[in-house]
Amino acid sequence: MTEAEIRALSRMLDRLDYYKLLRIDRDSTAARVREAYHKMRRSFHPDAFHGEARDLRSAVGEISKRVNEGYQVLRDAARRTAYDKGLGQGQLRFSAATEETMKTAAAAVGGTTANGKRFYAQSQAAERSGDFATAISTLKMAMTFEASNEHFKQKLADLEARAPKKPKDANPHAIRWPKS
Amino acid sequence: MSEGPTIGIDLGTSNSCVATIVERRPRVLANAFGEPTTASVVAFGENGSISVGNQAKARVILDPRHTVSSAKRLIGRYSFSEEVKKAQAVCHYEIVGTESHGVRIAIRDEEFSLPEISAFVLKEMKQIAEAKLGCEVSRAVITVPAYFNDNQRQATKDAGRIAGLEVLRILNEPTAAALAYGFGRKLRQRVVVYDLGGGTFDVSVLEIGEDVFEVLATAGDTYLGGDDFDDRLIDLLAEHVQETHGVNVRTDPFAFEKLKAAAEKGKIALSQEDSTLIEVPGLVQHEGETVDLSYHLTRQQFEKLVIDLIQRTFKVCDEALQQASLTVRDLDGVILVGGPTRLPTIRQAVTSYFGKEPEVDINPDEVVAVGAAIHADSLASKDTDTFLLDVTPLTLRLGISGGMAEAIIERNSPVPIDHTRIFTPAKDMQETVTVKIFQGESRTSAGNELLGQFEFSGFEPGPRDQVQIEVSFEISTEGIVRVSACDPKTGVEHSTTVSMSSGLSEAELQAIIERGRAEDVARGVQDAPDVGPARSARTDQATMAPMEDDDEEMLLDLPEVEADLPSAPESNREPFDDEGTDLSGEFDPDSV
Repeated sequence: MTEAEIRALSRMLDRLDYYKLLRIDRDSTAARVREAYHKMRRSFHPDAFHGEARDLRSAVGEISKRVNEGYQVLRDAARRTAYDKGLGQGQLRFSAATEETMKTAAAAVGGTTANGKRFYAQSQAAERSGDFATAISTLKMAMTFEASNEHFKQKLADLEARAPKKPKDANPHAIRWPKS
Repeated sequence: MSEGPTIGIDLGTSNSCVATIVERRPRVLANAFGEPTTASVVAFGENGSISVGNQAKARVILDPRHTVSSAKRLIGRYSFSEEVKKAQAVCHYEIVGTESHGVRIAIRDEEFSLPEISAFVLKEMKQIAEAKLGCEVSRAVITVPAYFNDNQRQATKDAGRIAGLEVLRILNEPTAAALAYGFGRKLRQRVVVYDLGGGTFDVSVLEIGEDVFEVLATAGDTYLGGDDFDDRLIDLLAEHVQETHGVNVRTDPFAFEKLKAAAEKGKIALSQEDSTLIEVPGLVQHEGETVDLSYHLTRQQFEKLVIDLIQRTFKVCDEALQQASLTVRDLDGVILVGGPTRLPTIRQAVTSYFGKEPEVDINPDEVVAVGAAIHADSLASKDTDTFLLDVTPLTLRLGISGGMAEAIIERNSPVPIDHTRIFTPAKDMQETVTVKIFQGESRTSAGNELLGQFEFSGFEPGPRDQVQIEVSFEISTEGIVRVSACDPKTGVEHSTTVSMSSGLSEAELQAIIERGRAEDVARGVQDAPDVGPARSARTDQATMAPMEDDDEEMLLDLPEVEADLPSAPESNREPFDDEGTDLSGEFDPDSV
């Protein structure tokens, strides 16, 4: 890349989203993100410009900082999801506000009230042990405390879909009388 | 731009090492005694003479009050910090605090700042290199523990300047070690660097992708090192003397230093033998009789003494791996750095923790200096062929009302990086705000290390929800922090390289450099290289010193509704030079 191109890139940083900056597709895998990151850092590493003109060094510095910022967001699955959502609304950079929204959403996943959290945890434990009936009933308890928790709603739908469909009389140990 | 060879200096707590590149091969430069490492000890003679190195180390026993060792433990710390208080209790040289909470070493009627003490060591390393290479050396990369905060980094850089060196870069020790390990080998590996030095412990997890060395995470403990292992042994021996002879050796500095030296020797002997006899004939005079020390120490016994310290290092390893989202199974190599890692006790514990034998071809005393030399050479030459991608070890925070510290740039963020946030004054009609900067992992300001603070005024006072103050935070490739506050309405700005570090203001630093140059001339020594006029952006020390009584109301606060700040507004702000040179008061290499 020529010096003029480097300067031009440093001036247009505010018009690029992190994917465009790293020159990758929106659906790139984590490995691809890292590869692209290494490539960018190689091209714009401040060390490679040690002793160059001051304005060129500062252009390289600005690019490096933005590339690092983008990498820090895209390498983290939760941040990347939150960023993608904001990007849909035209926010090219990940901000403190996005981080806050993300954390609130993460907190909501596990419940926001004491009782909600308690029943949700019970539900998860039941799900892990394969007891879907208990998982569903405790999750419903959690939802009585947090009726508007979107994650709980989704989770319930998910559990109900995955729960084994049982016939009405499903007790395998029940004694059956021979049909007469 | 200055010419000549470049060097890498590993400025250690106990020992320092210098290396260079000769014909594309790294070479460790031994001192006049043929030793690859030199003790980081400075002895002040009665006639004003100053000696550094192993000669000086011998003076620790003879003249403990005027011999300074382990200065690295104190560099860049405030006088009220725990480490300084601890050192005051155990060190025989006098440690005093300044009005602005800096630390000075009092030797006879003179006071030295920590950067000045470290500069003596750096100067010695520079001279060792010059003697070996037969020419002047002025450019160096100096390494610091990865877990060093901004103050400690700045102070180390200041030390380099005082020593008459152009500091090309402050580099993290584990990163340097990984560079030495992977240089020119086109590796594709994930490695961990376990760096137990004399006074600090660092662990870094790196991904090496041929020419790229990416630090995935780093963690550490700047209060844990080989010295602590020695201390345990010293305690044991002192207790033994107390029990068998009824003498408290600690009250006799001369005897105590002899005991200390014997403990260190005993510890090193255990690297080779399963047991050793620690002997100090004529340790101390007691009631007219000479008390000798003779103690049989086994490796097992020593292990028992230090096992909890070793466990503490693995807690730090856990943390680093967790931060990198990796487990020990994901690692391809384990690199051991630092003299204490020669101890079989540590090697065995490390092998069992990582489930892997550490690399054996690495010299733990020299690998950091070699890495620094490789990097120095790479920086000085036009064709950079290795790329170091490092991280910031500690979360950068801003003090807000309620005694809280708001996280701005989280730890293990890749550097360089910047972040801009909007804050409001803590109360209505406030005319000045105090911008306090911290580093650490606590949500409260008291639980973190204070880097520095400055006052910002010049904005239009008003109801607090209507005043916006934009604060920009930047961390350079070297991990050095710069913060600026700006009123987006008026454009009035105040910025600083956050550091009261050495407790040296730019003016004081310049005075020391000048004085050093004058002394050199007086002693007929070759003139130190011109470090040029410093164009300082460093704020005057007075404003940087922490205030005695914290005025809570002067602080900043989070806005009610977090303003979304998608991009740093284009102000007429001077862009932060990534190398931090101009802004930290360093000279611009291009202008020399």
